[in-house]
Amino acid sequence: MTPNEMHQLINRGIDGDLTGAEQRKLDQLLRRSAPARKMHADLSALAHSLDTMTVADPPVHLAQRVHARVAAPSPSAVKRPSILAALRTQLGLGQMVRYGSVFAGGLVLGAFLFMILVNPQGGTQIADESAAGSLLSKADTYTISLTGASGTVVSLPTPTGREVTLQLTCTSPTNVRFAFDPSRVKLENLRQVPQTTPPANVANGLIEMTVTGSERTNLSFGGVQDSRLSLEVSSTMGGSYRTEIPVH
Amino acid sequence: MTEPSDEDLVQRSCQGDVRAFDAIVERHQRTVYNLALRMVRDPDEASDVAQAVFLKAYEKLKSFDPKFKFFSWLYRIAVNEALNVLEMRKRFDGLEGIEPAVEADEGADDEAIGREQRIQDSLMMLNVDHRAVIVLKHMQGLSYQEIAQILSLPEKTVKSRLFSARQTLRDILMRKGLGSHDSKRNASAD
Repeated sequence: MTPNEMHQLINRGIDGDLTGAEQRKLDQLLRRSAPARKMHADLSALAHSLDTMTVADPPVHLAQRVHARVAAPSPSAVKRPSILAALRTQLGLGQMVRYGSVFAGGLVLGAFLFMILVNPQGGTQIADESAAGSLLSKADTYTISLTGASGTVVSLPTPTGREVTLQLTCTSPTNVRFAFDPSRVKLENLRQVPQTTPPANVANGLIEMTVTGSERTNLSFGGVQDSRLSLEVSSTMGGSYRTEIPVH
Repeated sequence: MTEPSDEDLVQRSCQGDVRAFDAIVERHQRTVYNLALRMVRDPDEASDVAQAVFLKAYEKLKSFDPKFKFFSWLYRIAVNEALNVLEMRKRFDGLEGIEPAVEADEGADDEAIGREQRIQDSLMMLNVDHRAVIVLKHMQGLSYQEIAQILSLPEKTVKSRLFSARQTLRDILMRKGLGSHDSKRNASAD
């Protein structure tokens, strides 16, 4: 039996994961091997210590804080009955419906014009939030959550290279595609740590790579020509969106 | 009267029943908080992690797939939130990975507490992947299969990580002179 096999057998024995035959094999090993007995005793004691560690009480305010956040009405849910009642009194129901229709039509037209003329690329907003998950911003830190994957995108201020590091952690093997504008981003200093298999495929403004589950992958590149890096992330696990990351 | 299942509470929460979600929080706050505490160690940060876990769960409740166990889904969020906190700490404070000082020996009455603190110190010296499997297996009492589901890993990988994590933890404790009494007894018997 190799040391590795012995280690596995002892550990599985501690977890109660052995078949009858394997348990007999372990018993036999423990009878004839002092190092095996030592390892078994050490690991059993460690497992027992870990199993019986004190369970702490959660702070009393935890549930209250969650409740306060969950129960708080959203602004859209706030009712203003007094204004509606006043309008109803002044205008009557028929006129309210007529004016309301005109107002709603104006809003739709305005929103349409805004999308066409003012914000054609989606700006810093997530274009397809429902499919993508969410983007959480805390100062310079951006957290991207994709379906089946989660990760952190950080824009790092560097004095010369304006280098950007994307850090993505996936909970399962995930194919990820970063799309960017090649006229604004030059991959002068592409570093992929660790190298994935297959390595990242970089062409025509696309970086395609497979991120192995539970491994963190850093992707650093420089030469960003604009104050904002436009980034589109999609995952074969589902969902895609585009956003813009300010590069300081 | 039987308690409503997690799945019932989730369904009612999705229909806007805030009290049902309160019940979910009440039921799982202890395990989620302790998972976070063992992962990040600092009680305030653990409280923040636990709060973020429940808020994220509430936000994504409609995407929960009832064919999985609710607690697995919740623990997965908790592990990811704890990892995010550790990552931020490492990036901005450089605290992660620094070996905590071993405290001076305490009196006999405090022996168990001192030992527990040293185990927690040693736990913080493991890499986060190893720490996560130790916490899920020993402090949350989950099976290999449940851990595999939470971490989205093959069961074989979970076992290999767990065994390796235990060995590393054992080595750290040995270096600190904290071998088990039992093992010392056995060793002397040999």
